[in-house]
Amino acid sequence: MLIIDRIVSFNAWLARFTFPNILLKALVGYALAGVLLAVVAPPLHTRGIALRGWMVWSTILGMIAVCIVPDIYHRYRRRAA
Amino acid sequence: MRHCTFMLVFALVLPVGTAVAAQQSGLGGYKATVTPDNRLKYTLEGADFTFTRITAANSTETEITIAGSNEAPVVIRFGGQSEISVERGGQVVTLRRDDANEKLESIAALLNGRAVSAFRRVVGSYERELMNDTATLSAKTFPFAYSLLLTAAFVSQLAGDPNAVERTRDVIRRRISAKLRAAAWRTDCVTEYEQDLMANDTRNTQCVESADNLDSFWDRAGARLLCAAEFLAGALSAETQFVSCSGLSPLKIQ
Repeated sequence: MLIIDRIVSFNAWLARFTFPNILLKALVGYALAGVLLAVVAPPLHTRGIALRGWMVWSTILGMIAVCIVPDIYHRYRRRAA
Repeated sequence: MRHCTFMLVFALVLPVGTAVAAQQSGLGGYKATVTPDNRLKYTLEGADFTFTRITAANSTETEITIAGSNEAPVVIRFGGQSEISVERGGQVVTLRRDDANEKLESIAALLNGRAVSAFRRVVGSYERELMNDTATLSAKTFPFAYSLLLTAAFVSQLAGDPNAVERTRDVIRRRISAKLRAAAWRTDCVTEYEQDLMANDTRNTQCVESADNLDSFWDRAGARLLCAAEFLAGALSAETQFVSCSGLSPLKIQ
């Protein structure tokens, strides 16, 4: 077995532990939503606008969608082509 | 046709079900009405007694009547002057603030009858039901229920039970405080999240202010970076708490 084969097989073994890219992007979207809400909520509160459940959930889901939808779209396009 | 039959059966069964539920609640037949002379009249009818309480709307003058089928009714009057009078079969005992114990004993003797005992038994079992927290009272009914409990406790105290009013007062107080505690426990997840974000913002403002007061340019930049990291961690922590609170709230015991 050549050294390059060892490296390739080691890489293949390592690939089992890779974190799915889409999950990482969803996590980034979740974190961005948290930061956005943390920035937006206090000034809204001082202006008398209370945070609502639908605002929080739509921000979280919207930011996750913004982060993962382009990836899903490109995968779909590549497969279709 | 089947639909019509179902609706007819439902319409017939519903009033029967409601009446049974009212009887099971322990206060079936307790009514509050306004008399033509603008006084509030509360009535409770049992198998062995009829209880009536009439209270003037603009003063505290109250008259309680407990009547039975084969005995003279007991009439208790109070609130008009600083005295309580109990009347039964033409015999009247008036109790004033500085009266001796003999008067209390003669009042207790007047209240020794089947109708009064039956009234105390019915309201007492309802009080026990409330004490065990099995009966839930709606916002519309609980003032009436509590006033009936206190009235029965007052009658019991006159009949010789020295701690009746205090005991009932403790039950009512415990129920009200339990309700308040339950309301406080069920805080809205979004409100909690908003409060966390406000606290995080205040913490960040103070952190940045203290960073700006540092002399060294490099120290200021480092401190500001740490403030930003703290803000980010606080925001993510609050968001995670909100998500877990919203996800776990259906599992909470109501």
